Amino acid sequence: MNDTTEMLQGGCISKGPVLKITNLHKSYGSHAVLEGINFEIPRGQIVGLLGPNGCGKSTLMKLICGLTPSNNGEILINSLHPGQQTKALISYLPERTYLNDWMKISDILSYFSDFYSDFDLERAKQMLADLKISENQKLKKLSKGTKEKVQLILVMSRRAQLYLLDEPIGGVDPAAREYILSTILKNFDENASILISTHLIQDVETFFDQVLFLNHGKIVIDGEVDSIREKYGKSIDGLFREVFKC
Amino acid sequence: MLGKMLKYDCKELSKTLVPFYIVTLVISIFNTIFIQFDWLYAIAGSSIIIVGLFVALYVVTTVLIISQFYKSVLGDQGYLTHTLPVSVDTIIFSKLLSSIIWMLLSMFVTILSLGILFLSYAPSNEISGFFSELTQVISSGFYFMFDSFNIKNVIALIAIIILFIFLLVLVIANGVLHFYCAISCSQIQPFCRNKIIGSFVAYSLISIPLSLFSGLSVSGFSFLIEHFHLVEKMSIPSFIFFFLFILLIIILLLNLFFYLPARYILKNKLNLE
Repeated sequence: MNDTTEMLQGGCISKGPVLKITNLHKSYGSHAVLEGINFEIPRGQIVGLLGPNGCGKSTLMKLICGLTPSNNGEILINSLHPGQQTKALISYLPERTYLNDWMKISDILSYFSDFYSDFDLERAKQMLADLKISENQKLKKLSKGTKEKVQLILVMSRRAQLYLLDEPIGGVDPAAREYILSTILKNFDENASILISTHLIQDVETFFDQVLFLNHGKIVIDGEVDSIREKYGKSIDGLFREVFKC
Repeated sequence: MLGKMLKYDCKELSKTLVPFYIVTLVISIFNTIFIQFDWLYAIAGSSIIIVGLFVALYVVTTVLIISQFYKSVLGDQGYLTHTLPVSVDTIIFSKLLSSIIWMLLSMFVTILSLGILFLSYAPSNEISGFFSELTQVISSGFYFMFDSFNIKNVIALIAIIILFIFLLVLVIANGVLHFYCAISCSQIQPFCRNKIIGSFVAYSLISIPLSLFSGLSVSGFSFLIEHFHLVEKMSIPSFIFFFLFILLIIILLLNLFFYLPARYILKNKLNLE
């Protein structure tokens, strides 16, 4: 198997950071959304991307996925620029529902199996069974919360190098939330990393290894959770409330 | 990956179009039964329904082709489509091939349905008469193009038919790519202010250079024929080949005229909401 094939199948693991962003700028027309973002995510880390609404969290994730081009700066995923190869390495959960309405859950499972060589079908089926979601249901008829659960199951059933989860638990009930969070933790291996954006910091802050505070398109705090807690003498949730006080 | 994507794209359109085809054919068959029993009201009613269905078939096929591209490439489903490890070319080609397949199937169902209606209207002796007339038309057409019936001329005729089918496919692709190009323009300024209105405006604006190019091509072609006295110099089959070949090149160029901007926008200017 050559390097390209390995990379396309998500099988090539380099030793550097899984994600490296340098001087990233993005604007929509005259409105600057990201202004000179710099950070790295090492392997095996769960990173919280925190910030108020409209601070650029979703845009940052879209840029990493290659869903929108940047105006300036560099994004490297496993030392590769965003493109067809990196799409095989990233498992992305957007904040909106992207499921094809005409499909049944069984169809979308086949769809993911067909396109992603790292998709673990058995794992997905087990998680659906745990949450009592039947594979024969049509996606069109699912509630918003169930759609979110199905989407998260699909995303977390891949053995990707980098998971980008944009508000993964926002619309899910607290009981399922606990299951989903433990599933996220259980299902990624030591060479992979997760970048999670969320407003529900209390629920997840104990899982974070690193946090990034994003405000007005800039990273204002970037560091390991323990050292931040020590430095500011506050929980991440408490610090968030202080930094982003209205 | 193209095969896999095409499988899902075809399946998506089949959910609506296959039932539509079945209804059209079943009503044609019912019409045949009504005719056999001379139920005038039923014949009138089902004939109106069939005409309506023929119109609806093309409207529905076109609307589905447009909405599939809009929803799965630039709508919310675009978040999944564009994060698959496939190229932009694969995404466009898959949708395009699926559109061509379904448009051809819609044409085939229309012909089949008309065939059923024709067989029911005409008495059996007229049907055999029709087929013998049809054979005569084909044979006189053949002898108009070729001087004698031999294997070389039959192969030439088959080649002309294949070229003609290829041309039909490219013409369908042209119509579909015109939509794709206009919809893709909704991702860039100034069309992105309102994406749906932007797509309509882009469609109309693209039509202007398209009409100019088509007009110039036809004029250039006519000039070529007249200036070089091609009709007098060439045999009929050679002229048909030449004519179809020039048409193919013009339509291929027009297809590139739509495909390349759509590809560039989806690759470099994607701006999903």
